[in-house]
Amino acid sequence: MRAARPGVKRWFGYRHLSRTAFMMQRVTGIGLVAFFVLHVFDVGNITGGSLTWANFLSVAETPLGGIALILVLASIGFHFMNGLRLMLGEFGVTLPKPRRPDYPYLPRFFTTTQRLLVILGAVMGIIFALLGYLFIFLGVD
Amino acid sequence: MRFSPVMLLHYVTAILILAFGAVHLATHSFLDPAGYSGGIAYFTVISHFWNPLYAATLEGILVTVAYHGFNGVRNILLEFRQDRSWNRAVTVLLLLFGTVVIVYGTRTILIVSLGWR
Repeated sequence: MRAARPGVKRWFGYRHLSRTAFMMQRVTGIGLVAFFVLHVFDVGNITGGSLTWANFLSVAETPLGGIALILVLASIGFHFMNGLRLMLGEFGVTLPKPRRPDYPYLPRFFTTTQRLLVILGAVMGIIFALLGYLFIFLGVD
Repeated sequence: MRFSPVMLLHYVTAILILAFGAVHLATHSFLDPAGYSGGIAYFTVISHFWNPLYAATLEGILVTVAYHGFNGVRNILLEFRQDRSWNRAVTVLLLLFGTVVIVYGTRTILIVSLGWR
């Protein structure tokens, strides 16, 4: 049997919450890096004076810009909480005690705490997105 | 438990981003009396930059996010192929790109916060 080649395609196509979290961590991470680079170069417009900044804002403050920001906020919420789960796992905090593998060899690393943290990540993403919607579109302060 | 220094720094920067990011998001949303729209207006943003503590926070967020983000991308790319030339090419390219982003961001922070413009 040929060994599976690693690649972006292999992030998708698994039906397990841990694999979905893995895929989401990567997708949100790449999205956030792209946003970060754009944001650094966009904010650089401020050195051009108030008119240049106003021109930049006229693009950033469109509904599409608002939706993009909400997606960024949702990504931050999920990436943060899932990253915390991964860090805790790395330190062995949320992992079960090692024991002899028995048939049917189900994965044991994905404990209830891990599952709850992934769900909490999704909830955080939704909360961040809602807060973004309130601030950006409804002008709540 | 032992970690590679690269990954240990990845985790340390994650915690720092949490602190810096919270200050950054709060400053431009609910801590600003002008709200989101007013908070990103030219003179409001300029006045934030003039606060040395906030300028330092911006520099902190710039460096930590650049490290955490580009190291994350490096991890992903190194998963695709494992050989020395790929490893070196990815590391050098991302190091260069990360440095460009940090230098450009620092330039913006210095120009605005020190009133060089």
